[in-house]
Amino acid sequence: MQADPPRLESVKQNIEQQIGAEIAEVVENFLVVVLETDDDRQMKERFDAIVNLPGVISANLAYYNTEDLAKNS
Amino acid sequence: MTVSRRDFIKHCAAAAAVTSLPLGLSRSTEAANAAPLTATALDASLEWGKAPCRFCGTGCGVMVGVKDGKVVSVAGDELNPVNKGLLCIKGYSLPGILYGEDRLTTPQIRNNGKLKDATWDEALDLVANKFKESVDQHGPKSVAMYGSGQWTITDGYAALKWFKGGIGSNNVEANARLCMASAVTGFITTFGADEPMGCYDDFEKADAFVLWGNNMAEMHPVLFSRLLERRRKASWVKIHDMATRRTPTTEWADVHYSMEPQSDLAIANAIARIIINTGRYDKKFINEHTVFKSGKENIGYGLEDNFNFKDAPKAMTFAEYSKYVQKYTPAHVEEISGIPAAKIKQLAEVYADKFTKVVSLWCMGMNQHNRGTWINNLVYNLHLLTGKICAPGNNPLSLTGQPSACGTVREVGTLAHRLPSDMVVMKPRHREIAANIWGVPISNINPKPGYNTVEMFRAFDRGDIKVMWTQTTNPMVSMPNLIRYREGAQKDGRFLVVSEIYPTPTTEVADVVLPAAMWVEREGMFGNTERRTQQWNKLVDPPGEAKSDAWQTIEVAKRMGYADLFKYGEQTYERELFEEYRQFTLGTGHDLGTYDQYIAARGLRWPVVDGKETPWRYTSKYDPYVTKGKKIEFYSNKKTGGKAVVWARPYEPAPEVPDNEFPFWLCTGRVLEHWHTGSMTRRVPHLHRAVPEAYVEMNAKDAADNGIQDGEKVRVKSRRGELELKVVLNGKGKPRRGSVFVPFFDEGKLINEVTLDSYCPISKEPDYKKCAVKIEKLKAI
Ligand code: SF4
Repeated sequence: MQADPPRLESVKQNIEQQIGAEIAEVVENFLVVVLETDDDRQMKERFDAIVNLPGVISANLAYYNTEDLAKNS
Repeated sequence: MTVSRRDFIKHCAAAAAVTSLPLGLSRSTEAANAAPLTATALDASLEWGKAPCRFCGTGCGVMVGVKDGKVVSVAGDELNPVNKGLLCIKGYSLPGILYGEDRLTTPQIRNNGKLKDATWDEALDLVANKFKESVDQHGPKSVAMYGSGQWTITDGYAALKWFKGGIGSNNVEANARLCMASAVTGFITTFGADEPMGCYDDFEKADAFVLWGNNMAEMHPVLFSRLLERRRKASWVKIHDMATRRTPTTEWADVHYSMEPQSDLAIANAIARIIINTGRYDKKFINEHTVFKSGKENIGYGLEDNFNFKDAPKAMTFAEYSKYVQKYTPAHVEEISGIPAAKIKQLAEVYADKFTKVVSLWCMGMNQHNRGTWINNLVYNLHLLTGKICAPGNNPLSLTGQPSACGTVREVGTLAHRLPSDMVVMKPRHREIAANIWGVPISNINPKPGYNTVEMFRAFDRGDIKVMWTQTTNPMVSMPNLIRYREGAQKDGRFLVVSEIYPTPTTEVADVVLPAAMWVEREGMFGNTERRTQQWNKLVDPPGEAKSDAWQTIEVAKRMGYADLFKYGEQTYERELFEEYRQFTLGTGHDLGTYDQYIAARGLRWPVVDGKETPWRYTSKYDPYVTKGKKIEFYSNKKTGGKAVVWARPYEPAPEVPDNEFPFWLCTGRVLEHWHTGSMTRRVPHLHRAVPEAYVEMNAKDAADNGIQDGEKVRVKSRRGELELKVVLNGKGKPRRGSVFVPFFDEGKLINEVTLDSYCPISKEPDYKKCAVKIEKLKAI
């Protein structure tokens, strides 16, 4: 995702504290965020919450995986 | 095990995301270093294959991960130059759309009013008999095939060949008539050939982007991030957003121009006038590469059945054209458009300034327009007058909505007047070429165009068409003035066959429903906005007995006695259909590569000559078709000796404008979460929950004037129908005063019962963006 450069710090804080998502990487004003949820509904809600944060220019998806990990263990 | 697998997946996800960061940014982390360049290696426990995204016309490359015969993963394909590893939010619904609970898995036949399961043989025999009976008794004009810009290339080609080469009927249409027809006629009348000269690579070279009624941030999000990225790297770059409502695109644009519906015609003419009057047109380019023409005016709106129109182009001089646009003074156009004269002048500068490289972008705002062909012509005028065309970073680019509106409908030619590769049924030479490739007598191909989409549904209602087959489309949600066409389809003596993946309002009125295999459940090819043709292999089995549309068409054709037209192998028909279709394109400037080349590539932009793609057309630097010694040549325009046409086209009002009784403009459109009529995305629970039903966006001041609160239910009423909807005042879109917006995805709230079926007389594409409505408060119960 892409943040407005002057608001980068607040975007980072909000993602970690408000949304509870993991920031895997920051390069300039680009952030790689990993979301893990129990179901797609939560995924969509958290994705939307990120998109709606002040200072977020755009959020795109690079990788999406759906697996029942409990079943695999 | 769980923990390590979880961590591993997270690592894969992060690594994929890092590799998709804009090129040129440093990739510092361990994740990036460890990340292989192809997503295929990301999780070796899955099987991976490439495919273009199933949804929009952007044509993003997707890596599809399969486990135990099921699609479980998608990743943006970083090797695909379209999206360089990114996907939009719709992309992650791709696995979900395959696995909705109510997927259609068996053929069904209506019996005593109810759809009952049947075998393929029963269903196919019945369909073939119905078609045969109708053709025998009422002639080839009594049957129709209505397909889709979501058809694969071979689906469209099989249908076209069967109808035009076999049955002798030109009643083949596709829903792209409802979204792209004006773009096609715009291209053909201006350049003599369909589809753009430029490509997405223009985005990284432009200094300015002008969006003509195009909410790119939501509708083409991956491309919009490329625009934003360009602006981030080049601080002088500006994004101009011209629209009838504020949208998420507006938030990131540099300048917003709030325009009255229909006034784009006047705005484009005003810009042309400024370019001419300030002497900033490119005289040399105009002399060498353009001619000027005018056409008929006051051309009607296609509201009557069997409406007919033929333009009568007349040559004009540059001086005459200059005089023609003089009435579009900024002051006069301010009155029509509501955009202040000073801002119109500001926008004109973008085109007039010699040093600003400009890309114009548009989609449905200009195409679903009662003067759709004209507004396409008028925007091309701006690029032609200034010579800002056919050069990297300087081009008009008409965006598409569906994944293969270009590849299938426009290139294969699944329209009532067309044959493949820009040929038309009306020309004897074109019929001869087609007949030779198909090995049929030329007399098989009917020289008279069939019914265009709106007329086709009108004919079905009247009973002039008796048997219709729809594939991969949902007309009982998407047709304008819907009530008439739904009732028509259910009249006695009509027979409707529907190939679908889920139950829809169209299957509800069908006599036979055929379960379709979709996307990676079969092999296929799509062609996107920028002339890029992409191939994918079958990666999983379709559910139950579902089969591809091409297979279904061929089986019915065979049962009607057209086996000779379809002598392909059971396993190889996709490849064979494509290789045969490709023959139409060779040597025409639309040349496609071989099937194997597409298997190997992440898509190729045609013309593909000697295995090489063409990013920019009509310019000698990139396009092998330009005559030696010439720098630029619009070689497809034979009539004008290789020149493009600057058209004198006027502003004319819309057929139905707001008045005292119906005081608001109604504009319809899509939302980010749903794909078109929602038949797929409404099955994805999180998307359905995010936007469960249609609503009406209103301007807050209009709402206050009418005593309407946010969230309140109102009645949206036109002369044709009415609908109760919840009012949204602070949503993503905020219409300008005097207009409202309603999305069309919701089959439970059919806004097309309210819209008007007027269309552009040249393209026959309906105008879904303009009709008059009133908003009534519902009385408290
Ligand atoms: S932008 Fe279009 S093609 Fe790309 S992922 Fe989104 S829906 Fe698919």
